[in-house]
Amino acid sequence: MYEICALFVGIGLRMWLFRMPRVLLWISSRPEIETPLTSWGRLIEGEALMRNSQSYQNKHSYHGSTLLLALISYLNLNAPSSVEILFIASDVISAVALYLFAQKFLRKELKSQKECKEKLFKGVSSILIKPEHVSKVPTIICALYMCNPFSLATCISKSSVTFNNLFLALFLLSAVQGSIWQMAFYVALSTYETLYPVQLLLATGLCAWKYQEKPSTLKICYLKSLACFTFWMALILTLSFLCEPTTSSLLSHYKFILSAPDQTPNVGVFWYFFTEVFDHFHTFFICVFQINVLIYSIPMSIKLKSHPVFLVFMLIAITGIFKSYPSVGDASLWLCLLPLWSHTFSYLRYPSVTGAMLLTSTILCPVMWHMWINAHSANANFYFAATLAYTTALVLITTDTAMAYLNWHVRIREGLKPCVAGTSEKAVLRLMN
Amino acid sequence: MHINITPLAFLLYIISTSHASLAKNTKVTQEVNKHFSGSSHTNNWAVLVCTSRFWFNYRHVANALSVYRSVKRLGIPDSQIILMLADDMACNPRNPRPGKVYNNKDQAIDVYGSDVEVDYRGYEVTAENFIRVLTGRLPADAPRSKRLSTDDRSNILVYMTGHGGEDFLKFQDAEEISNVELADAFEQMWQRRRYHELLFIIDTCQAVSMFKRFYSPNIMAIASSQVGEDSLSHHVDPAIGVYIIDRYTYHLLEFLERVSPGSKETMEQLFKVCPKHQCISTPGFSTHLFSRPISRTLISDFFGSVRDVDVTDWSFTAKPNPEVVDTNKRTKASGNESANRRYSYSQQFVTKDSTSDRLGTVENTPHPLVGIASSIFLCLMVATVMKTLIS
Repeated sequence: MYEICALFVGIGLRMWLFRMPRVLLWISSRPEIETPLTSWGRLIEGEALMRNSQSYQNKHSYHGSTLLLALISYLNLNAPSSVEILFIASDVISAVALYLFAQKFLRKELKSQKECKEKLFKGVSSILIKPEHVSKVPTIICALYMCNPFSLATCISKSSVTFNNLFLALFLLSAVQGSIWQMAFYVALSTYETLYPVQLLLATGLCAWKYQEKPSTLKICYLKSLACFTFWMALILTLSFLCEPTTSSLLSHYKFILSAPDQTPNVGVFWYFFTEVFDHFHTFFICVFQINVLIYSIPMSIKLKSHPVFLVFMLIAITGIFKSYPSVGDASLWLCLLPLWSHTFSYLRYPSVTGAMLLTSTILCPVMWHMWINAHSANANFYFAATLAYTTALVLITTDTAMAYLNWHVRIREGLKPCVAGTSEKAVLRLMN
Repeated sequence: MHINITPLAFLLYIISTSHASLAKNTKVTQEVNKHFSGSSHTNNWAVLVCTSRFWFNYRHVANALSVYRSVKRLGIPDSQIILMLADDMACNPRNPRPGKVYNNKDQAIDVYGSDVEVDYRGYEVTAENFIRVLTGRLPADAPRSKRLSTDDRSNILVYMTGHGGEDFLKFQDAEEISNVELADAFEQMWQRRRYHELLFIIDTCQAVSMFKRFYSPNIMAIASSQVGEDSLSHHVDPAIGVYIIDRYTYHLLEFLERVSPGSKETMEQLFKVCPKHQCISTPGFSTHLFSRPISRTLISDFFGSVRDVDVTDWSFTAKPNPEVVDTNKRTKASGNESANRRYSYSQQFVTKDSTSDRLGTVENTPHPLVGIASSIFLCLMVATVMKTLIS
């Protein structure tokens, strides 16, 4: 019941904010919210260019995917008010998908906890997943997603991160249902928009292997997911090629994401570095930064083999922090999923520090921007420091959550207190395989 | 003796006609004389350059602005004056009279005022920009106020003030222009016929060295000091603590105040301005390139904008042209479609489909297969989403 209230509050907030042009203008100009890849203004410019000269390949114009441009321009031409409804609907569907996902996931976790009761240490019942988790957490997640300022701002500024979050939320939902076709579909869609969710293929196989009704080996799951993903990607790319029949436009947005030529400030780590790097080191450092985004997927898939949903969470978090053009909308998705691991919160080492850091840096970013751009009393270093604090806060939240999660899994086997010092017992880290 | 009639008849004819035109003789002489010593320019331009910046060079800005005011008063419009100043005096925090620049400590005239039009200000006053202005080699997007759009019937006054040395003039403490460059710039102007006659006045130290190298015709030059001499400033304004005007320009302005737009003062009188006992430095002149005698060259040929007005004593009535189309009434009777067609914004730009007026021509509409494929894909997407949510 509360989730319906949360949904309506969220819809109401969005519709109210859409009617305020000054807020829209201010939010759409925030570099933390709109990036050259996802901004609405650039999309409209690309649409106008496409109408007048049939080529929107311009340095200062739209750099996203062709299908999004085609869809939005079609809607804008025929029914302009439906664009706002599309964005609000996308947020609503994401919230509903996250709610259902959280419910199903926690139910399955509770079930497997009950099945492994004998393996658990005595006396750990205080930290286990309880039925109230299953009833309260999904509502909290839905409410968080609909009402948190990051996703509100993303929806209001009509940035395409909204759609990316939609695809990832639906991916999560289909992951706990175990259907490979749907998972591959959503991964293909979000890979088509922004390249980085291709890492989720590693998690697709694992989710399918864990959550499928009829059991099969891991290899078959991986092969099936790869085949489905290839099929869906081929379909989407063919459709995109039909819409805009030039090969350069097919992969131009991938080229933009990978080579990151636009150094407009955003909350990421790319822009500041690449304004200063010498030209002959440019390619090398682009490769380094892009590898930094993608490299964590392989070791984490090995480690979190039997916790695929946590793996997906970590991949979304790391991608959202280190990608070439991040925004606060990328962070809003996985920050809303933190209550899923609320049973592990007692093992968080510094939650108040990271929370305060996130809050402070979020408030500081617009202040530093104003001081830099409008008041001319600061420079780019100030703004980069604020965004670096924001990034560090997110990284610390991610690593702390991971540590707490793994710690929890150890504690339920070994007991709440660690081994008594001075004994000959060895501590062995073993997950719930 | 055979008398040849023809030369006699010719002589008689000459005598008779000249007898009839004796009354008009003086007028003819005047006309003839005017062609040889009167100026045949049709427009006047002025390029006034102050090459210094910083507060302690207040006097150079006051110099340039005073000449600007005089030239404007005598009739040259702002559109034909290129004023290059660092323009850091009027709004300088050290200026106790903000927005005002004076050329005398009695503060009689505010030479800055609210209608000053500085064309090149601040760091735009560079040697490169000065030469570009003179030679006309500006980028295509330079606005008209920054161009010296002169022709072969333009008289130009070039006034420069600042800090100079032997054979060079310092531009804003960062660079310098040499007398060779200046002479070459003027030669470029002559070769493209960008001036009819040019008066070059320079008020700096060792100013004569700047016009020593001129070699283009129709240039007259006046400098405030000889090589080896310094041009000195006139007086200090104790209220602001810096020198407020230079000696040569002070006396030049005193002279110009006696000149009005129609007056007949000549260059000879201008050359007598500020002799050595008043200026302490010896002014120098160059007239060897100038074709007219200086005693017949008027001040207003360079400092003002005098138009020859022909007053007629006959009149005529203008009749309306019956073929002119009244665009207010768009009736079918006009029949002239091109006059009535409204231009829309996009039609003014040449684009790939500029031949077609409307959007969505044959080239622009996508292939129908695309529409079908996209709608199928959209339905598929919606179906998958529903399946995910419901199951």
